[in-house]
Amino acid sequence: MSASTPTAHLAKVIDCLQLLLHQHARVRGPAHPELASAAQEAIQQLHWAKRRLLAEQLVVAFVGLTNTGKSTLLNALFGETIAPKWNGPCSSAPVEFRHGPVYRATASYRNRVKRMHQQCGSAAELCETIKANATENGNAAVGMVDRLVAELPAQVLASGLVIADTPGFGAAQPGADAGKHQQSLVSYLPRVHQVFWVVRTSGEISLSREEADFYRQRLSDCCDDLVVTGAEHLEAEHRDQFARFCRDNLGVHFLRFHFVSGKQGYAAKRNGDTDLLNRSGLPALEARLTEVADTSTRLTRLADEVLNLTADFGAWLSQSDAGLAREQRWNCAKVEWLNVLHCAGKFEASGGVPFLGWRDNIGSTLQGGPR
Amino acid sequence: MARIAIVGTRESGKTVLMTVLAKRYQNRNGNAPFLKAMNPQTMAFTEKNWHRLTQERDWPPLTPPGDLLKLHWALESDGHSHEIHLVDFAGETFRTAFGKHNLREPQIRSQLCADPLYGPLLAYLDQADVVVLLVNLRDYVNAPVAPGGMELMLENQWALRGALDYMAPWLNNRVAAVFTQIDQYAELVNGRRSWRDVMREHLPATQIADIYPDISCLGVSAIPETEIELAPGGAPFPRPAANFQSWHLEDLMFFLTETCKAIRVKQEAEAEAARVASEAQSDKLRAEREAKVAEGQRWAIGTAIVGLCFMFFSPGFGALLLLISIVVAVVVQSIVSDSQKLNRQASSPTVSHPQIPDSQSSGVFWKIGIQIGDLIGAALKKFDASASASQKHKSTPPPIPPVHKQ
Repeated sequence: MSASTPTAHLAKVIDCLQLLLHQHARVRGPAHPELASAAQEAIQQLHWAKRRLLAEQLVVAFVGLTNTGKSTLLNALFGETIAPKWNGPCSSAPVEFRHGPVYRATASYRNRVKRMHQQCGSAAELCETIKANATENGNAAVGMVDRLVAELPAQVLASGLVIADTPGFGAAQPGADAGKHQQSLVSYLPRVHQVFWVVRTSGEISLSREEADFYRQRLSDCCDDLVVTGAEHLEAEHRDQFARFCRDNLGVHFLRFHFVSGKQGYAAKRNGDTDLLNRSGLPALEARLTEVADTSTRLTRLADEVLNLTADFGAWLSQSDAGLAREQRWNCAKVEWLNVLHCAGKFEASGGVPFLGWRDNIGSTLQGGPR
Repeated sequence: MARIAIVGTRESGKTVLMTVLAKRYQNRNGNAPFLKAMNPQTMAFTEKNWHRLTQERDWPPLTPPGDLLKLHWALESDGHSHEIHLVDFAGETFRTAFGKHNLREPQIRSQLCADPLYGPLLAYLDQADVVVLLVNLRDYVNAPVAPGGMELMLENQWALRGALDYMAPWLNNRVAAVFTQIDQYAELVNGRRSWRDVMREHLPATQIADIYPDISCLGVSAIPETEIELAPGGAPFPRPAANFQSWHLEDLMFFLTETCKAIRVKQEAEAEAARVASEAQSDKLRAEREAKVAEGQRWAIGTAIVGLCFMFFSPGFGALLLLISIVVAVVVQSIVSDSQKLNRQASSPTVSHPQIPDSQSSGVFWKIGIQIGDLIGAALKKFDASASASQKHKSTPPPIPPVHKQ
């Protein structure tokens, strides 16, 4: 990537912001312990924003407890049965779905250089191949699969998006295999750019403790979207209650909720039933995935995301550090502060009209000004 | 041959700058400066740190206080060689040496010179002909909010000023204040006319820009391109980017080569003046010697004539005088040949500073000749006196050449 592109300049702004927050927390942290954790949270979010910005091929992972309907949801998105559906613990290795002209599977193994390549004649054959290689079926060799890549000509992947079906966390494996699926998921997460968290409801408004804990520990930085499957069981007002419950329970306010019925969506696509498809909530989720994958709007979205983050942090500082004058807030990290402004100016100049005033905006929001 | 010393406070970038400088100028390229490692430690220092920067993409570890790594490069430029000595001191040692002590006090100065921690640093600076003082603006720009931060900032400021106060009396304008990591100060520098203005604005307490108007102020960045990564604990840290380019190293190299050149020109002028003075002295000595030789020759000839005359009256005494005149002639000849040798050496272009050596042989022979001459002179005077007493009865002898005592 050329160093003079808007993307490179925005990446530099993110770098400078991370150093600014770190320096600020390092100097002021001893006197204000809460500042260190707030800065760390913001640094992590900036880190994920930068990863998304620089990703050549965006990997979106659907993550959730075992049997929350991830595979059903993916099949609905693809419009055909590709991801194997199980009633018990299933995927033991992450499966990446990429766009390709033919059905094809490639498995890589933990301790082997040679990979398995298999061209499949149909979606069903690809599904069988995935089932044989990446699901828990008693085959010892399956446990050695590190990752499986499945290529298919699905419309939702045409923009270059990679969708990953991951082993469910919290899956109960017997004996020596205990926690193996979760380990596989955790070790795969660093490859992912964005997580869609999948939870299932049967009409009740609740989250399991395990789900909430996993979200806080592993997903809070990289997940902006919560997909609720089994949404056919929830009325409209219950959906609002569910969203409020999750936001309050998890302490986050920026999650986007997608209420989807995978079963309805899949059936609607197979039967060409537009009404049912709309009711299933699938089109909205597809639109969101398209938005995430769209490289032409990615820069604008992430620039906006960075601005929102600085505004959030500035507002947080205004509340927690009220004794300090706004103008003096960043004096302890003046070099870093000036670097942010300098790089923001260069980004504004390289990005053109959409980013006019961006430098001033970021300066003012960091000082606690309005966004 | 000039000796260059590079010093700076903690994290001012001495190790990184010197490593990158050594690698950027490690190949001969026409008349461009060329840096040559002069000992195995220097090569190991450069290669290890370069590997760390470019392959591991990490920073060299901080030099711990008390550690001394003596590094030595030859800087070749315009066909001349200069020495760069980098004693890789902990920046903390530099800060405490000059920031906490007033080295204008002779007593404190002698105490520090004897101190095992500070002594080598002061000796290193004492021997330097050119000093590069590295300055990290971050130490002076970020407000010192943390406990003890203000004291640290003041010590850093005084370390710069104290070091200049210490070195300026003999170095004058052969000191450069070099701002490092300038890629991070784009906004600070924006609109300033020069690095001297930056110095005046951001280090006003040091008053360096006003007290030392002749020192050079430069800005460099050895590794301006970095990439931020998160450490396992979540703290962001910048890593050197792959294939980074450096900024303005050529300015620093220009200062070093030009200053070394000026020192060389000055040294050559001083040597020329010394040579001229030495030549004048040698001419004077040569003239004196030639005068003495001429006198010796005259004396030998006179003595030989007298000896020949005496052969008729007293053959023994006449033979003695002849022998003496031969000895004196031999001594004089030896001195003449020594002088001719010296003259040839003096005219030879390979010897820049001809000296008249206190040649063992010519000195001894000369002294012997003079002693003999003195003895003969005294004997002749006595003989002259007794002869003049008997002159009434004999004819007047030929005049005796005078004998000069040295």
